[in-house]
Amino acid sequence: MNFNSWQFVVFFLVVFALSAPLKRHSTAHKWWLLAASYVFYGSWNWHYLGLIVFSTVFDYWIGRRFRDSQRPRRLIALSVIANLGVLAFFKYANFAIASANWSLAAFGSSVQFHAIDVLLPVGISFYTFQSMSYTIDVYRGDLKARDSLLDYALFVAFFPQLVAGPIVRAVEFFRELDQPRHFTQKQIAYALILIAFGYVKKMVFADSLAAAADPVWNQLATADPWAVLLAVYAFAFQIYFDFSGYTDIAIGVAMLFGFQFPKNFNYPYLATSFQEFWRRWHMTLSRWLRDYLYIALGGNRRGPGLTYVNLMLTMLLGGLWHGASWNFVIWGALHGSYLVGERLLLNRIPGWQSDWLPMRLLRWFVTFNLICFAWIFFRADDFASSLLVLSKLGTLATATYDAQAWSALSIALLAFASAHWLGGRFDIKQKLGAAAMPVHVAATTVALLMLIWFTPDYSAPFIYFQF
Amino acid sequence: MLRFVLTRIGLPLLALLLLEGAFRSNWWERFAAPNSHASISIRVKQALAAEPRRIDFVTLGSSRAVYGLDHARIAALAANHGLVHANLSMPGSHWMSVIAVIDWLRSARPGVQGGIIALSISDLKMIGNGNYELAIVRPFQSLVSDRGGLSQRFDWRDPGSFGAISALYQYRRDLQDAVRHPLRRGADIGWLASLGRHQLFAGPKQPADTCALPWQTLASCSAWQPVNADQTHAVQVCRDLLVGAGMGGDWTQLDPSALPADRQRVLDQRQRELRGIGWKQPPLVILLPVTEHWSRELLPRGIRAWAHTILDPLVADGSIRLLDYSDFFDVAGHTRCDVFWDSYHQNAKGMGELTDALLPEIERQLYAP
Repeated sequence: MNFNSWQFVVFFLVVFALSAPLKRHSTAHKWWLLAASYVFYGSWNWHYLGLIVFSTVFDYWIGRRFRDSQRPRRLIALSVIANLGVLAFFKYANFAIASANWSLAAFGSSVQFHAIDVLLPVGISFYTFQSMSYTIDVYRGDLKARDSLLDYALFVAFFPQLVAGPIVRAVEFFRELDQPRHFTQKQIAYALILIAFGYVKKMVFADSLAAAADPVWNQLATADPWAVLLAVYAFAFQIYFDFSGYTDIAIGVAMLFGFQFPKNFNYPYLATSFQEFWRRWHMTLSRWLRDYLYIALGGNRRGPGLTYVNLMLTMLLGGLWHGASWNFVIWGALHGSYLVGERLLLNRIPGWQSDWLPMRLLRWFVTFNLICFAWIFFRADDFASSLLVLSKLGTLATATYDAQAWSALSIALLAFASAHWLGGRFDIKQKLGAAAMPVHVAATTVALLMLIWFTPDYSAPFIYFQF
Repeated sequence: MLRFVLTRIGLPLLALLLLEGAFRSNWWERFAAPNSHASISIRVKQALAAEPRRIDFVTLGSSRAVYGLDHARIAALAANHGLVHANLSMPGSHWMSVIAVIDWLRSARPGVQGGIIALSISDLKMIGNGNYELAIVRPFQSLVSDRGGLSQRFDWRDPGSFGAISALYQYRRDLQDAVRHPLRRGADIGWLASLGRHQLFAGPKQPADTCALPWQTLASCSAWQPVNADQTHAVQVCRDLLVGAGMGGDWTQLDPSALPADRQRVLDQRQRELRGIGWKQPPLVILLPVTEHWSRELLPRGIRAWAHTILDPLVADGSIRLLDYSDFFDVAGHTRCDVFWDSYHQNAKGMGELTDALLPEIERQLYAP
């Protein structure tokens, strides 16, 4: 059940309508939301409901055991191994087998392992990380183990953020859960704007860019180099509109049920450094990686050398978290090297961090284009395709630019970049959410009209659903 | 709180409803893109609105009819009998739009007493002909009408079909074009108002033929390297059609008493529509010539017999008159290359020869029955 389907719209309206009378009965309301969340997840593949229930019960049990355990390190190790084990089996087993087979063949061995016939459970990377964060927080003493299994199950499975985030920390979720479920007019108005913006971002902007760029990505061998360059930039905006659109819908829907979730995007392409980019892009994952991986590895407490190693390791694993492919590892490695390079080289250039406008523009230009370069590995189907893109881009200087064919996409990219800049500069969503009724109604109407008129026939699935 | 929620959700929906009403009233017609499907219909409407005389007969059909019949000669023949015969055939038009236009003519031109429906055996293969036809039908609808069985095309799984129930959706492509090309559009609208007028009593003619091409099969035609614009067009059509070659299937063993559900639906709907036309004279249905690309490679084997399974009972009960010219240009099993300019359409020579053959029949069956 994708957010951009009629089934979801009907599902949400039913869940929302029946949730309103239950608001005053906290337990009944939680049961209702949990049942709805399991229906939402089961609609994709009900067999895997067992997996999410296992993950829930196991980590809930671990959390309870911390109270009187003499060996908490063993418990946390058990939790991490179990969670990562499940993730490894479903997500990385075939990748490991394929890599092993490749290595064996490279060394002349005829031994080959068979791939496992297993379907990747949707959202497994998100809810596994979320569940792990709970046991780690309890182990660290940052959070008291939850008494109620119902509360914990709802934390793991709450449907607005179940399959693609934002990754909410247990302490944040339980704080929301323990408050009386109430809505203010301001919240509802803002939630409606978020949902409307989310759908427009996904169904109009992201899908239009996908419709223009996907044919190029699918026919790289015959595509002309300028088309490939535009397809790279188009994907940079497509993935932003796709994922941030999903997040806006998720946060808006959660808000209508009385939950305030953390921001996940803050106009990332306005960043003028890589460190700033990761503070603006997929912010809840960045925060998770920082709190549970980078800091656990030692962070920057052990000198510059180990800081760089820790940064690199964090980004490598962050890349691998996205998907079982060497391309994601390369993407993570590139971002790791960007962060290290920024600290090691760029920030040492005199004047590099100046607030002088031309320097800020130069920093933005370098940051944005290197991020787009990394997206090549994220988007390409495999390593060979990535190399093909690079070889095409290498011939740009001698290729002819078909202005007529590509002017529309170029203009669209400029328009999206401008919209991104304006949105970040003036925080339009916040302003519209708090606007007077006529402005709010007009904005919602315009969003609905955009969905009717400017949604392309081509509809790409949410990119982050595959993770 | 409830009032707040209803206001914030209800008012945008009310605004959409009002806009839907405005679009259903065809308010957008003047801004329709000249090259859009809706614009084809709008030009026909504009031409009819500018014609003061009573229209007695009409010709309806697809681009095959546009290029296959000499509409000027048909109009002249009708004029000899003191009658006015207007050409309303439109590229992209198939059964849904034909039936919608006939329904619309009842109120817009009540003097119409009969006419020609010129399609081909390929139009009797399936119930519909793609979502683009929704835009052709829209200008012939009113605020609440459902001409041509428009709403039956709605499929909630296919956003392209939402135009079947919403006028806002039907003008989607026009609006997208308006946003993409706002400056060019101003000039185009001017062009629509003047040069793009539909010709009620004439039609376009194409001089080119396909004899320089290896015309026998879609594969051979597709492999050809064209040397001029006419060949480029004809070869591109072959290439577009080639993807469907050999996928027509075999309908030679169809048992009329136990038809598959989809074919039963086609048969029922076509017969119901043709019986319900309500003209003073039964419509003259002409099955226009098809090239061997269609009859041999694209259409199911047995499609011609299938067409007669649908139409012959209507002939028998007097609902229609039928002229089947499907293989009119075939000689020894092959289509003549000198009478077509692409895999669909006849050239001026083919138009002339077919019209020569048809005029006596048209005169006998329509003007002097």
